[in-house]
Amino acid sequence: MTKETAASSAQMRKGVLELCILRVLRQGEAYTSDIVGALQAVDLLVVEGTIYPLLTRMKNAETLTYRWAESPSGPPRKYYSMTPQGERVLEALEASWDQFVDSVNSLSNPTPG
Amino acid sequence: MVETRNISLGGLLFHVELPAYSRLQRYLSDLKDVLRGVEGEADILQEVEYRLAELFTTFMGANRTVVTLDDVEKARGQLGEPIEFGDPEAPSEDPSKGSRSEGPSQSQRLRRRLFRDPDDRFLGGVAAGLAHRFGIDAVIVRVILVALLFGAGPVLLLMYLLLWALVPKARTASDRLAMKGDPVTVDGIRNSVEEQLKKAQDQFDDPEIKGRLKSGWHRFISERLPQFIKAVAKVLGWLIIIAVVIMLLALGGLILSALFTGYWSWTF
Repeated sequence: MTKETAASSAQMRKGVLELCILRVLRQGEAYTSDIVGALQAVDLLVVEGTIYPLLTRMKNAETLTYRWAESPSGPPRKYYSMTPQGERVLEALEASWDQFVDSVNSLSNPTPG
Repeated sequence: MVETRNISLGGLLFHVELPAYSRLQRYLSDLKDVLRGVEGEADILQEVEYRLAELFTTFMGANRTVVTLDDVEKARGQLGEPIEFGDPEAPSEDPSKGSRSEGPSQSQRLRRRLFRDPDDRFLGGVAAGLAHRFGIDAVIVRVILVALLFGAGPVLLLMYLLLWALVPKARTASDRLAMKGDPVTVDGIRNSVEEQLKKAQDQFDDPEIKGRLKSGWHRFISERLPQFIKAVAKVLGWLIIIAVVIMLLALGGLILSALFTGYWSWTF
């Protein structure tokens, strides 16, 4: 991948990160490392740094909420979960994601006629 | 044997080796710079501190009790460079913050301040100071000064003396850093101090310098004379300012007329 396409892909990944975080949290609450791990496992996240500002912003928008929990080793952990508001946001983002994919695909597969 | 510092990170106590400590400190202060003004800045920093605490705990396991430079670098690799923390989705506020995405070197580089450089001086360090301020080689400034000397000797001489008198000398390590546009951090100051020590040592070892130190006339030229001129220049400060303004206007007129007539008068 050239430098430019790498930058574009990074931008794309960042664009869908919010949707991806919500998809991860739909399966239940998760602490930061879980979210990071889930996203890194499918190559949606390269470094963790990208995610922290986003989590904070989503928390301030009341899409997410969190609770502190003790950890068996190390510092206490912040467990994030989706709010009802978050569910609505997820729904809206899913819709625009579907539409986005359809739009992009329609360009490479023009309908005959 | 390595000295350590005790730090509290995410509510836990860590013993951190000194090199690791300064690396970590730089990382966090860079991060703070990148996040300045970003929504939820404090929350993000807190989250990062907790994450660092967790990573260090994991890296050290049960056998180690001290955080090393390796641990810090590993954590840094995992978290990403401070610049990665910029939130591209955030509504972009004022355009001045747009530079965040252009790389850390640019945002970390401070506006250079004008000082006289005592480390690289020919007379008073004015040329070197100007060179640092504008990020060019001092030789260029000196060549320009000497070249202009033929055309506008008195003005240049007065301007030089004026700058000598008015521009502060870089005395402290942080002055030197500000002069060269390096951020004032513990590391930066340490580098600067090390540079000074090395320079002092080199000078001491240099036989030519030893000879120069002994020669009285050079002392006179390099210390007494400038001091005297500086004192005079200070006393006459305002007179000189007025004179320089007038002469600069004259010089401007001269250049303009030279441009329009194609004739350059070498006499002033």
